[in-house]
Parts: sequence; structure tokens; C-alpha cells
Amino acid sequence: RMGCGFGACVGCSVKTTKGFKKVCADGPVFPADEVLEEI
Amino acid sequence: MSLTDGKKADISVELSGLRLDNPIIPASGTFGFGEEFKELYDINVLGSFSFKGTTREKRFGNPTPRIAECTGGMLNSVGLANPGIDDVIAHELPELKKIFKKPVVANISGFSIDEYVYNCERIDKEDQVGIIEVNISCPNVHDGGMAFGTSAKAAAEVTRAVKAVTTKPVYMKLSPNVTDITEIAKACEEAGADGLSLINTLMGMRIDIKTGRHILANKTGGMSGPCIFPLAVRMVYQVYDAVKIPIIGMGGVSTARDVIELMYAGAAAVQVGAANLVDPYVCPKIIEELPKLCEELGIEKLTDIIGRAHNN
Repeated sequence: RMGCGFGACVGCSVKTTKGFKKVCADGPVFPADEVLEEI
Repeated sequence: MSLTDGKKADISVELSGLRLDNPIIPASGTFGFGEEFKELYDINVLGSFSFKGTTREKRFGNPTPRIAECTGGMLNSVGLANPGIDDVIAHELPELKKIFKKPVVANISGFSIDEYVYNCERIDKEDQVGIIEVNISCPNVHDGGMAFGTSAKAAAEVTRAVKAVTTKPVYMKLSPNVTDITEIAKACEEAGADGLSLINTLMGMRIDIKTGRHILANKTGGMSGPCIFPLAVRMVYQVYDAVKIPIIGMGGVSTARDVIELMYAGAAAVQVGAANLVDPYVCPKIIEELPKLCEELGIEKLTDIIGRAHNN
């Protein structure tokens, strides 16, 4: 769920092997092996 | 009613000796460090802005989902996601200096008195910081933020500790999740606060009716947006009655009319938060509309109306 949709509010963050990313600005698609989420 | 001689309304305000071109300050957490918004408009039109709540350590914040919606507003349980004070001083602030030419409001958060002191000591050395806004009201972190803001004694302790390590104006950001916000406000004033910022978000919750589960991973979150505006008006009004120090008012402001209303209640400047997420151009729009609205209402100088509702 997103707040602003353009990277300002940090609501949609995801942990990746390359650090904290925002789904709205850096994604919404990420290489699966980079994402450090528990499903 | 309108102004005589086609005069232009003066919308400048002043906070602890700092002159702002206008009362509009984007609220902490809704504006990052200005990086995203600078792509949309020249952020130097703003009076100032309050940057993201900064803690000693870098923080991812709470697990997602950490945003939910409600009628007339939203909930967030972001939980002070920020790069940490070292990074803010080494990277964010120097970058900010390149794009924003006015004093900035530094929002400092913490989980212990020590941490507030550590962060404030360091931010005190940053030239561009005009005001330190001490967040003792984040409802999304355990033992930090709001834990200090719900006790007059704890709030006073943080205020005293921070005042001892900085010469910059210290504004305590208060939580509305208390029985009597004037009690906390008075305690902060007595402890030496130069000003107060209120209100932070109200604790709320959403449940998904298809699954019976919490929408927010953190279960609760802070509610903001137009639905809380009358609460902000009431609390600013009450605190204005109780203290002499200036108040930065906020809580659901999304129009120039809201700004005027909150200033009548007692606000010397006004923060705009959630509205930025709905319409990223809301602040420049309000800044443009304010002089026209003042003219319509016969207000020559915006500072004339601060607290004027108390005369009625």
C-alpha cells in the first residue's frame, strides 16, 4: 500500500540486497533474488 | 470586504526571530529531505519545511503494509524510517543546501533522553537548521516518540535535556493522544521550550473485512488528513490559551482557508502534511491563494490574526 506514490513518504519500502528501496520510485518490479522479504 | 488602495496582503510570519516569507511548512515525514518535491516545483517558495524524523541509527521502520486509508484521511505506521543522523549530516543536509536556500526545520526523534540529546547536539552545528522540532509524539514506535509526549514529566525532561545542548530554537512536537494536551504544553514551556508544534497524528486502526485481519502490519497507525482538522483547531486553540510561546499548527490542513482558520485559533505558522500526498502541488497552491484570500477577508497582515478567535 502506497502513500504518495512518488518516493517522498517512504511508506512502500522494501528491503533488498542493495539496501532499502521504494516500490513506487525504484520498482514496482524487482529481481526476485534481490528482495529480502519473507513471503 | 477587501483591502483599501489595492494593497497586497502581507503573508510573512515570524518564529523565534526567524522570518518566514509565508506560514507554509510541509510536515515531517511527508516531504523527505526535499529531493522528490524539487522535481515538481521550486521548493524555495515555501516558508520552510520540516525534514523526516531523524534518529541516531538508520531505520527501515515498521514492516509493511504501513499505509492505510480512511474516509477523509489516512493512517501510517511508517515508524521513523530514516537514514540516521550521520547520513543526514554527511549527505542529506549538504544536498539540501544546493536546492533549498532558506532555514530548514530539523525534526529529531529518539528512543531515550540520551538519543534526543545526542541527535540535537549534532544537529545544533548545522548552519541551515533554523529550528529544532523535537518529536515526542510519534505513535508508531515502542518506547520512543509518543511515550515521552504522553507524560508531562517526560516531555519536560526531554525539553530540558535538549535545551541544554543547543542554542537553536527548540519546538516540541506534541501528541494529541492525551487527555489534556495543555498539561504537556505547559510542562514543555516551563522546561524552556521556545515553541510548540501540534498536533501529531491520532492513533487509529483499520481491519480488512474480507479477512478479519489488520490492514497495517503494525496493527495501529497515526491518522492524518482533513478528518482530523477540527481536532487540530481545538487543540491549537486550547494550547494558545495555556502558553505564551509560539505554536506551529498542523493536522489536516489542505487549503488556504484552513491556514487562516488555524491561525485564528492561535497558530503562528502552519504545517501541511498528508495533503502533499494527495496533491503534491498543494503547498504552492496555498501560498498563491493566501494573499487573495486575505484580501477577500480584509486581512492586511497575516500575523494580525494569530489567536484572534480568543477575543470572541
